[in-house]
Amino acid sequence: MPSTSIDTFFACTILLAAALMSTAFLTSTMQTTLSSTQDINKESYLKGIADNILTNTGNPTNWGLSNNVPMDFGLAANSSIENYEVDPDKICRLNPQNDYSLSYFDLENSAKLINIGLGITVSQIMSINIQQSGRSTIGNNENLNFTILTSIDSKPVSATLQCYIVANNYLGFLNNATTSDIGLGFINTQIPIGASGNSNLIVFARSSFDSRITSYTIYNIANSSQESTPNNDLLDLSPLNYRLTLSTNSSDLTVQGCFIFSYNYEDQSIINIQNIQNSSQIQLPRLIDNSPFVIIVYGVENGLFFQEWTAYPQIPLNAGSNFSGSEQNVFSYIVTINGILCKLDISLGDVPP
Amino acid sequence: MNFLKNNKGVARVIEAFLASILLMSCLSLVPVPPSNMKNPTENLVSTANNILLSLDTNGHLATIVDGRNWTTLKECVESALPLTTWFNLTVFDQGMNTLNPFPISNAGPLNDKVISVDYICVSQNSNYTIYVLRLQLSELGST
Repeated sequence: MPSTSIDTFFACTILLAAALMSTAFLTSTMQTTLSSTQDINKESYLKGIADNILTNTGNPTNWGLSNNVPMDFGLAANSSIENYEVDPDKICRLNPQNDYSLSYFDLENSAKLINIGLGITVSQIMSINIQQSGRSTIGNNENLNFTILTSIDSKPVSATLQCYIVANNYLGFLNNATTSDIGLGFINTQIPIGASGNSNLIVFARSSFDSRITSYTIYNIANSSQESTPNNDLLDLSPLNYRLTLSTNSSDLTVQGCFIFSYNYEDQSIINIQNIQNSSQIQLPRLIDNSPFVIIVYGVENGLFFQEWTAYPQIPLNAGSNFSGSEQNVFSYIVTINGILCKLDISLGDVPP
Repeated sequence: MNFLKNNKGVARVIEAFLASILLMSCLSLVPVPPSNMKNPTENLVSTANNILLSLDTNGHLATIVDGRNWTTLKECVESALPLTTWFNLTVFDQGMNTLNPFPISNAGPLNDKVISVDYICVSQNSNYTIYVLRLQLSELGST
């Protein structure tokens, strides 16, 4: 073979390698460009869906008041003149702990989302953290000390506190407590010995700079633990349209009364409902207060005092898909629910190809 | 001897090398887009509008500006934004004169991609004073 042929073959190999490399480079570059464009389009598309869910009332517009599945899903308050105002009853119907909650299937169908995952999270803007710092006995009373920390997005903020203690035949108030600029506050209270067995501390915190930022939390004194969501072991509580539906599996349970608390107000209804049926309902007073409401129902089960709680609207809540192991696109909003500011996240999954 | 005198093949190899270098140089000029090119600007504008509209329910923002409570105004905006978002709020009167005597901001801007949204609110007092609120946002990590 002549040497020129070998050299030509060698040169052609180099040229071919360079051409192949450049083709591969161009392909990957174009692919990245195309997928980036698709990302932008997808994000705009999903953002449009999230905006629509939040700003649309749905059909019927007052679907939150009934136990029917809406034809169109939307969270905006009916006939609201404010932007980003969400209906508290529609929020309640998203909470899986509510007897009238929408199933995931109903949620997807009414939102007209085909093969796109949907998740909704509603949380309070201000977090309250309670820690029991001391417990001692003085005479016939138990002395309890608590440390309270208020923060927004992990940043400590000052707040004014309103605290209530509900125990067996005992209701206590703690007014005028505050947390400092570093978000730290202390409360000290006494409850009769024997009453602390099944008692709850309810803490409302209102930020010093905006009364619409009002949060609540519950501290179970018997278990020494903070509860962000109710357990409802004995009694299921489902608030909707200022009516509380009670349901239980216990055959020997008597409901004796019901408290409703807000930041500024407290109301007690003495009732006596024995052998609760699923349709047992309690009418709740319409307190006018920029505050979440905490409802406590108490009574006797097998001769022992019990109390169960829920909130109205039922926040914090997580509804819909948890997006475990799949793509999640989160869109965050600040919304108004019953006069209080809350954070609402709408999560949407990947768009099917 | 004939083999050693034949230099045509070497010239072809050199030509091929030069052609390859030219080809690769041209390709290096093709701009490479970032692998995860999102659209932070659009989201930030939407966030700014959402925050201003939500905070202004019942004319709340204008009431704060009426009272010249700049610290309260700062805390309000700060509470509605995540810690990773920088903001700067400027309040103007009808004649676009700045009213806040010091910057209402949480830090220096995190990067040079800053969005700006103007929002008009009206005081609910008898004068119906008009204010223009300019909210600038920038997000940590946006490129």
